[in-house]
Amino acid sequence: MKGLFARESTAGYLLAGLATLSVLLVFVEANTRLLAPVRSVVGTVATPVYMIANVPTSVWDGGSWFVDVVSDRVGMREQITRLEKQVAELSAVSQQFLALREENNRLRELLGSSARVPGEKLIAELVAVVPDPQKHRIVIDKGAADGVAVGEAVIDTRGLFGQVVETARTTSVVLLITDTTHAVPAEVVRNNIRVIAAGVGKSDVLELDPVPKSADIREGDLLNSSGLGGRFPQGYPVGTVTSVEKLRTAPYAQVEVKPAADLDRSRYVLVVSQPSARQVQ
Amino acid sequence: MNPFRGGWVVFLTLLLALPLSVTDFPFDTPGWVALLRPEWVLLAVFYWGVERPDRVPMIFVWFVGLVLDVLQGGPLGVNGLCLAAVVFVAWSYYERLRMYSRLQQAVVVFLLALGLGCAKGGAAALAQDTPMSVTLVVPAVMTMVWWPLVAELVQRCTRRVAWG
Repeated sequence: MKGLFARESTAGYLLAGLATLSVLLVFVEANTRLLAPVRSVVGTVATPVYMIANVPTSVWDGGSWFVDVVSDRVGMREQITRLEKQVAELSAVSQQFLALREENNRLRELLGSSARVPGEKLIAELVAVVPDPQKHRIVIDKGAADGVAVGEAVIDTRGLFGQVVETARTTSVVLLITDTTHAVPAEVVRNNIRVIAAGVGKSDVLELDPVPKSADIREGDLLNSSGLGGRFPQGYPVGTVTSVEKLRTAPYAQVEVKPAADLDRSRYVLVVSQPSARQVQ
Repeated sequence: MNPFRGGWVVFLTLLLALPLSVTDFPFDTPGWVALLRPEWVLLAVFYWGVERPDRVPMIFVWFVGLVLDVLQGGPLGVNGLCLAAVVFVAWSYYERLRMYSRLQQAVVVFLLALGLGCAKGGAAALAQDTPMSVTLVVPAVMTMVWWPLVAELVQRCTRRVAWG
């Protein structure tokens, strides 16, 4: 116990030192990007923690899959038939889509604007959710080693999901579009009004940043990403307008949007890398 | 922390607390389940800080805090600072804290967890412009509620460890 008392006398200094270091870290990180590599390295070291943290969900999923297989073969068969049908339908649509994209690009060429190049897509699985309900962040199982870079857009099967904000070697952190620090440039599909859809910290609501009361936005309008700002690719669904409130006392209309993506349910997402700047111009 | 004289138990407990702090629940669990999560690492550090202050090195705990910051996506250094402060409190008052009943200890745990919550909220407000809200009390309350349970459990599981 002798060692303990010797240490106790220096404990105050030690705490003061660590506290100074911590405060310094917070300030450096708030004002510069110097600490991104540190975060990346620590994140890489901590990757196994995410793997362990994901065990309950995997076991649960595996368990329910097992139960499904054993108890409900007929249901599985039906599901397979349904999925096969869906694949057939979707591939028919996508054949048409390819032809349309070609045609669209030719028309754009005629108009003198550049062709749109689709970005590369990478399928990733969600491995963890940042537990703080104030923060809408998830961790996916693809990282810098797979070619994921900070700033790339993330979508799921229904629409825009978020963007990559940190990368470690084999995992990345994705900031969801509903986080309070996030906003997406979007446009109303019906009439191309440009708006900005900002997160408010709830998983099923986005709010449009100041919209004049005279703007023609109605309930049920679809919003697509506008591609302005260069961060998100153009044309992915952002959400549907659920309410438009024009209060006499407020200078702007209050517009709420329901995100198109299944933000709290999707397990698989796509990381969309932007085509290089040269192609976009 | 001498790993050959029981220090590995402390290490193992902290290693277990880290994934618990970021565990993801299956998708059909209702949303309020996530709110039941305590500050696992704080519980572990406080338990061993009081029980075995000579086996909980402050600098090591600070680094664990750094890892936790990365895992939780918060500003770097906040968890480290608060956990180091927990170690300091434990080192300074462990004799008295051991005399307390589990419920009295729970009050101390609540205050420490509240400090951690406020530091997190404050740092996020500073670094990421997230507004502070009263929800930061929820983890502190949950940490307090979990404390007697976790402390008894860890005590029972580690009774036979040879501390040398």
